[in-house]
Amino acid sequence: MYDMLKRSSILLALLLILYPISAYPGTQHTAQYAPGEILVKFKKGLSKKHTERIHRSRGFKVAGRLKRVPIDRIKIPDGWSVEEAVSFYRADPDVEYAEPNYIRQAFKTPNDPYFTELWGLHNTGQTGGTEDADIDAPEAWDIHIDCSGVVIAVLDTGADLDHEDLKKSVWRNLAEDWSNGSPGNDGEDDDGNGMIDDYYGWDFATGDNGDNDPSDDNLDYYHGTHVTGIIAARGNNSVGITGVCWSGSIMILKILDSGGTGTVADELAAIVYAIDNGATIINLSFGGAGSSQGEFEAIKSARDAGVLVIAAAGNGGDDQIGDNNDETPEYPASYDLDNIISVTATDENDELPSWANFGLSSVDVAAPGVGIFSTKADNTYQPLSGSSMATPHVAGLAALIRAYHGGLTYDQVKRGILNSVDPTSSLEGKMVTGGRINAYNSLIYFAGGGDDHPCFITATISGSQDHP
Amino acid sequence: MLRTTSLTLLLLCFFLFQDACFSQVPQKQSYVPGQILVKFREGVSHEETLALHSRLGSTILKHFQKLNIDLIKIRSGLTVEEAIRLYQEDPPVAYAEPNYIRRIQPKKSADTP
Repeated sequence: MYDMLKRSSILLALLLILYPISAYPGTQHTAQYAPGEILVKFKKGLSKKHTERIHRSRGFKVAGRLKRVPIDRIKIPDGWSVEEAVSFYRADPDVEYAEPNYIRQAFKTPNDPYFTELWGLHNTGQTGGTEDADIDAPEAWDIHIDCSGVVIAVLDTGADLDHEDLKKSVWRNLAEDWSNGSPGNDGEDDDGNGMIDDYYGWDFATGDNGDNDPSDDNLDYYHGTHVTGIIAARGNNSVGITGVCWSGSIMILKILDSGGTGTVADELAAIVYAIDNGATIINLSFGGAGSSQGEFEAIKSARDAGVLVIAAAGNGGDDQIGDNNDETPEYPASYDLDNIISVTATDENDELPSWANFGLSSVDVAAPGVGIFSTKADNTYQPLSGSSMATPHVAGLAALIRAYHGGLTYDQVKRGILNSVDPTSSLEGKMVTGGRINAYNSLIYFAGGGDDHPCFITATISGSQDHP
Repeated sequence: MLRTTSLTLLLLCFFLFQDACFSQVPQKQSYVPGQILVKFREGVSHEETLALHSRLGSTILKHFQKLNIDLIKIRSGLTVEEAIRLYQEDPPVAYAEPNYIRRIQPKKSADTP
């Protein structure tokens, strides 16, 4: 397994080296530069008089000189194109280089007022942490932001369905009756799935067959509401925060009661529901010590349906000291099934918190999970910590990948996440990948077709043709 | 012979490693008392499963058709361990297990280092 991963890393490294040669028609930006000007740097030791003479000889004007680096910004006269001007200067032996004045734009950042709190998405050191110890979300958002076409089931304490930052990211069961965009409440099981009026999901945690209101009643934490916001709180809506996805379709399946406790039996029912209703990603931000054959089989049936399951590695148990899951497994994260990604938490310095579980063979990746700011009931927000918060960062990324690149299998998506991490010394030897997820790397991984490597193959072939 | 050996081992374990023998039982309740999950082997008829549940005094709380698993309320007076043993003795049963509990473990930011 580790060997395979190593091989994949080498492949990825090769891919990255070849990236400039290969064409990515879908994502390559056309180079943009300021019209009518170029940048020129002369070789050392030339007098200002001499360089001025070169400019003037063809009617160029120095529009500015950069202070710290001896580069001239040149205004080119009418009748010259930028390309011609660059060629003219490049031909002069006194010129070290000449180039267009390329335009650089800031990466896509949303206008949500609390975006600056979200160090896990974009770490500027705002919480005293390390700059760029984050999942590179703005860089990824330059490529893709919308996950509304991907159904993600969140099995948790429910969610605040009316939250201003969530209500548009909640899945709707269109097989039930709706009138003018609102639940019709006809009291009938229109889709014949045994659950009457299941518009947004189901509450499996309330006795017997449960009910159709998966609202979050976990008053201590609003755990499920928080998890849901991390995946897909509405981005760029001028309100609150943004999720890893700016929009989403989250199926709210309540299996944990108001105290945050649930049973495997209710989880089984919810996993079956998620599969039957088109979820392709399942988020499980909970755990326990008992190994259950039934739970294993339910997740295996999810695998047979192509569903990827993201599960929390746990937070150190009762003593709050991180456990080695290789020795003391945490279920469901620790089952040996290849459609599970087991996730632990990192802090704003890319360090493993003292309470975070780890495991060289049983934990796959790390994601931000300390002081994560997300949605709470009644249009409010709060920070929470735990592998419960790290897990939805990965679920959101899985959705982003699936939305960006249709038709991927669960294991392709998983590889796209695991093979694209930022490896860090503090995580090395503590988990399969030894790294924290990077959303930008994962999307770029699939820009040319992912691990089927059509880009890799194209690059190799065209490379050998172009450079015999 | 085998049974005697097992019994001896169990007793030995009990006296020598009293703590170790029970260290696997977590302090917090790890499963729902009075309930178990039962999976029947493929091809076992519905009648057979009903007959077994009824013989053991169980009530079916839920049937997961796709997984072929029943959530069972066991007869009062029977422990979860006893019920599991009774079910597993029965050939049509693939396995029986506790209905394990799953929990969240979030930390408010004040609790974080």
